[in-house]
Amino acid sequence: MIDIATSRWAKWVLIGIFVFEILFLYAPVTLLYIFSFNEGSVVAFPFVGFSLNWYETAFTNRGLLLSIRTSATIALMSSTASIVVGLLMAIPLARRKFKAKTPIMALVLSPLVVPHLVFGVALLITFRSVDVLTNGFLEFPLSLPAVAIGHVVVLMPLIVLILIPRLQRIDAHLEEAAQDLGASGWRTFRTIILPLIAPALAAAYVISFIISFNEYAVAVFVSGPVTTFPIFVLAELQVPVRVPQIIAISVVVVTLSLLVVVGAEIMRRVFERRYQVLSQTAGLLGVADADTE
Amino acid sequence: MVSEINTSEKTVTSEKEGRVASLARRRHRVTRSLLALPLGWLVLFFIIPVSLVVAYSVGILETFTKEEGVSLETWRIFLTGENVYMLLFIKSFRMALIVAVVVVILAYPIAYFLAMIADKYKYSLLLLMIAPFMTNFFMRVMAWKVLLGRQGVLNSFLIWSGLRDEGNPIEGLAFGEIPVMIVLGYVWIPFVMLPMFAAMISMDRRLLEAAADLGASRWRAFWKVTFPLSLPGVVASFFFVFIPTIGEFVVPKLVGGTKGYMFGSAIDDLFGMGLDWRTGSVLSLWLVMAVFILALLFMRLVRFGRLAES
Repeated sequence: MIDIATSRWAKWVLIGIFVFEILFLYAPVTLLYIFSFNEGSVVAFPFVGFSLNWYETAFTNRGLLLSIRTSATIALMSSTASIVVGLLMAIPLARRKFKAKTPIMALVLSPLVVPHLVFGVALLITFRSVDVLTNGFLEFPLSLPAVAIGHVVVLMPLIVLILIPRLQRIDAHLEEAAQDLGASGWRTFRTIILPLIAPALAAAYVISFIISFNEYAVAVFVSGPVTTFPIFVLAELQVPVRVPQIIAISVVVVTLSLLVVVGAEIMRRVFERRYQVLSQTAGLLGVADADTE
Repeated sequence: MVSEINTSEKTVTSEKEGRVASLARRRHRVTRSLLALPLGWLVLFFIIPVSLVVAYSVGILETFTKEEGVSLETWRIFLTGENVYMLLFIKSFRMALIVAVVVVILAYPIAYFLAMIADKYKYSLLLLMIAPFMTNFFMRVMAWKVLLGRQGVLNSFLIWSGLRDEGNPIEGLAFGEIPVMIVLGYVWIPFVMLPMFAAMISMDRRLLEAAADLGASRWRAFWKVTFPLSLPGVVASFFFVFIPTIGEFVVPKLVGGTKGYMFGSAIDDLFGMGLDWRTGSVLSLWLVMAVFILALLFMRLVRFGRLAES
């Protein structure tokens, strides 16, 4: 490496920028942590006194808890479904040769260039028109499954992008050897491919779950009467007196997601070391990872 | 496999060839059946919905009875600027452009630092950078709302500490175009780094050695080698921010006020309040078209296609 990275002053300037931006990113979030323990109902200085009241209020708020359960259900459904379809898609794209590959790849990635808002609107029109075109004979209820269906479309390209580089790194000879020894396609998949991509699958699952859990733009159009966590939070944020308890619950959610993300990353490293899978990139950065290939 | 077989034993060869061919055929069948479910899903829940928006925008499809039949009238009204939406689009386009450019500029040194200097700590530092942001979007928006609001942390701190008089808080931070852009920038920085980081990390380092051997200075090596090679990542990062920002409607709702109202907010209102789905469809399609046209332009400038195929 012999560009500006090797010069001493550039190094210190860049470290400075890095530290500054880290502070810029963390400061507001840290404030939320601090103010979640503030006794006062206005989120402002001066700090009134230490209290766990807002946590108590949040955890006894039935609407809030219900919305968390709803979002968790949707996230479970959509991340499970999208892992399955994403894997079905990624295997042929990464490991087979066929003519329609480029257009199919373009199709799979196309949801990435459509703003979620537009996609949400499109789904709303679709579900409504099922109703209208069949003269009310077939009614598609806007609710939980509708949101999950939309989330699968949003998540699929991300999962494909995470899995493809992993799949490509698997030596083709392993697969051929297994089949020469008489293993069926399914068995080859189960005993060779699956264990090798397990860490990437786990990472993809965690990311999908978190994205789906927090997704708002698609959900708000097709959720109908159902209130997901982001929808609930956004509504509550408009009411100033409710803000402190939303801060408290957000702090809990952030802490939990942090634990899951960091935990998953540590697990992945341990796992990959054990299986000696050559891996240069962090599993959590699958999207970036895909671009390196 | 076939080449390894002694050609004099023809029967063996043809038998083997037959097996290879049948294996290939089976693979093709498997490939097709593997792809059926995900492709079907995409057609049913992505292609058809988007096509229905097209149908809706010209009146082929109507879900409410009050509308005015098949015509391009709604398109004409929008494109000729007879309603406010074209102006709103231009404003939002400008905002998204500014946010995307600024954020990419802020994130580039970070990506460079992590990819080229941070060495063995790079993934830990990367995780440090993005981990808190895998969390709720609103939480991050709220953090700024709480921070910048009229009675927010910043103002209340200034007043409390006597740095500013009571009744004279810093205005213009709570609502408006600027706060929308600050918040959006804040929200995207951790993520936009990723494509640039990926581009730099996969770069062939020997090129830099070659440049040095040929007598290039550090700056020259950076501008002639590292920077051009990171460009596909820069473009990907740009779209990473630009696409969600131009379609944004939540942040304007929280910190936009009337001045921060964006094109996405208009679409949201047209559908959400059930005002006018047909105009809403036109605006939605226009948004997608704008993103596409911009992407095509960029693709011509940089070899972005390779990235997409990856």
